[in-house]
Amino acid sequence: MKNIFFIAAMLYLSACNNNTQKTPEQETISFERIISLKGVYTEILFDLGLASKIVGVDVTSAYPEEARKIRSVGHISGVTASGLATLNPDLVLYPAGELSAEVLEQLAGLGIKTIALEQEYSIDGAKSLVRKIAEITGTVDFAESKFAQFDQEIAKFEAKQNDFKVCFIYARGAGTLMVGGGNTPMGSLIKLVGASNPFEEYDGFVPLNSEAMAVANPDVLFVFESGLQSLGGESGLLSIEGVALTKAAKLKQIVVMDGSLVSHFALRLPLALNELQQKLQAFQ
Amino acid sequence: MKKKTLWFGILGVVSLLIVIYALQAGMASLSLSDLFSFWFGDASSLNETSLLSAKIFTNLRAPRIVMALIIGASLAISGAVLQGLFRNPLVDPGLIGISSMASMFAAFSIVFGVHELFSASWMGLFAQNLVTFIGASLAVVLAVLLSNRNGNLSIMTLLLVGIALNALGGAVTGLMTYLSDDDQLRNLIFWLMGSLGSASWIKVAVIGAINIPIVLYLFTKGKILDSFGLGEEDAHYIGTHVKREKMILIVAASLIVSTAVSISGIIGFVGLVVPHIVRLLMRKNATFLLLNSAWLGAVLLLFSDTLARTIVLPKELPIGIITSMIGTPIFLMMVLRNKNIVKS
Repeated sequence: MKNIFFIAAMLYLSACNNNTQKTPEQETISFERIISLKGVYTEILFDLGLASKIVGVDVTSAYPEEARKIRSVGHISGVTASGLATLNPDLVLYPAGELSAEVLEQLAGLGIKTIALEQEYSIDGAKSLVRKIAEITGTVDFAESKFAQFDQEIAKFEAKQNDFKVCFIYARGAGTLMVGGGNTPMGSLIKLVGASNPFEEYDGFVPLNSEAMAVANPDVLFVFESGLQSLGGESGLLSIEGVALTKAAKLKQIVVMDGSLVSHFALRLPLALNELQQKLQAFQ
Repeated sequence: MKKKTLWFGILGVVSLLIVIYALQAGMASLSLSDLFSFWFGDASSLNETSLLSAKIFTNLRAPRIVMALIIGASLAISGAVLQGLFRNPLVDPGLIGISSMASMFAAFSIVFGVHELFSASWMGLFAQNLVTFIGASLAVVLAVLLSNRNGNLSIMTLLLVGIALNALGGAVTGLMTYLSDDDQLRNLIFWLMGSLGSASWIKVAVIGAINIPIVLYLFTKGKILDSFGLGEEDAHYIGTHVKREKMILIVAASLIVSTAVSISGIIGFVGLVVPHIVRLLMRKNATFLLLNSAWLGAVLLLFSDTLARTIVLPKELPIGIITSMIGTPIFLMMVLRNKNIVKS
């Protein structure tokens, strides 16, 4: 049964493909069925008023709430060309480097357009990602109107230089803690509010030695709401080996924020900045 | 006799060097005088850095070292017992499904938040360990129950049940990976990679109270294992209570692995290879094998863990990578050396 659908989808798509390829300049506005393979792309598509055009999302697409109702294609690491094709998309947005060459080739063979996106975790980076998706979907004018409000909010926000050493804790396995290093949305957010990240010099997420955590001695621990649960709640987090010796644990200084708000780094960036700053100021 | 003395001499010196290396290696530098004043004297006389170093040593490094020794000894002696009992050199504690059932339960509890039921109380700290231990023990119970034929454990059935449990564990863990969201996936992956980073004195006390007596008890089972080496029938004729001893040995060997897995995650290779290394170094009776497997396993795991936590500071490497990278060349070297001896 599945195969029949698949073949039908292929035939249908190859037919669509012939139409769109003839007029490349119109390509930018012809996407009607979009699959988003990263939470932030989904959020941006919603912001650009394109919610009705999203036919599939990955597991990280948890914001806004309605995004959870869209068909999920699972983890990006596990998606297959046929799995995506059954949703009959005409565009797949994915983070650069995260779809295998094989999947991309198969999708191209089916006439499905794929676009790789990259994101820089900065204020300009947030805007340029939104602009890029707006260009792809032909909603640039709408995006510009959103930028006006974004710029206003950013201008209002004032980074207050402070001495806080803030450490973002992501996950915990049988023993090792994962903390946010440089070039992560959390690391960038910490820097943008004027605090410092003790693991800034290490790229990405760092499987951290517990002694190193004690030596770094952060003043504040920063976790996702969802992460805190899996870390065993507040008391669980504060009694993790290594964490227990830090100043943050002694003073019970924990900042808890929504995962998508922190990690998406799109139009809600001003909101994230203000929230983190307010929560840090409460400890002063 | 001379060879035996030399062997113990070398192993003793190497062990001592490794322990000293493990004690002083790490992020915080260790000063003996600071440590003594922290333990016995006036801790307030220490400056902030020294105080932190002393605390790091006392609360983080020391329990981790003890934990590595206990878990290393447990995994290796368990491998030696099971290999002897099954008369099969390829058996390791994972074979009857302990590790994969433990992973399955860990994955299940991460994805469905089972451990969060306890998170309000002090149990929250150990909930994940507890759930994993239940999974590991369930594997043992299932394996023993299903391969029980009128009070006698069929080794063949046990191995087959092990294959089935491994397949089930692998499949369910895979399914959980598929169902997990982003956070859960990260937690799951890191749970599945072994690490001793969570060592604390409480955990050392728990695992020590269970594993040390069992390891000591297993040391007394050398003669029994020797008799099993002749085959179960002959073992029976020379007076071994085959059914009972088999049950005791399997449960004891599995139990110490279950506690180890529930605290450190899956650490492969030690249980399989350490007994072989001992056997290749010197062919002696099973008592010698058990004692030296435990010793060598403890030292090997301590050395591996020390490397895992120090060579990429401030990061850590998964310990399984290190145990395999150290163990494989030693093991291959010995197999080759042994082949030459056999030829000549």
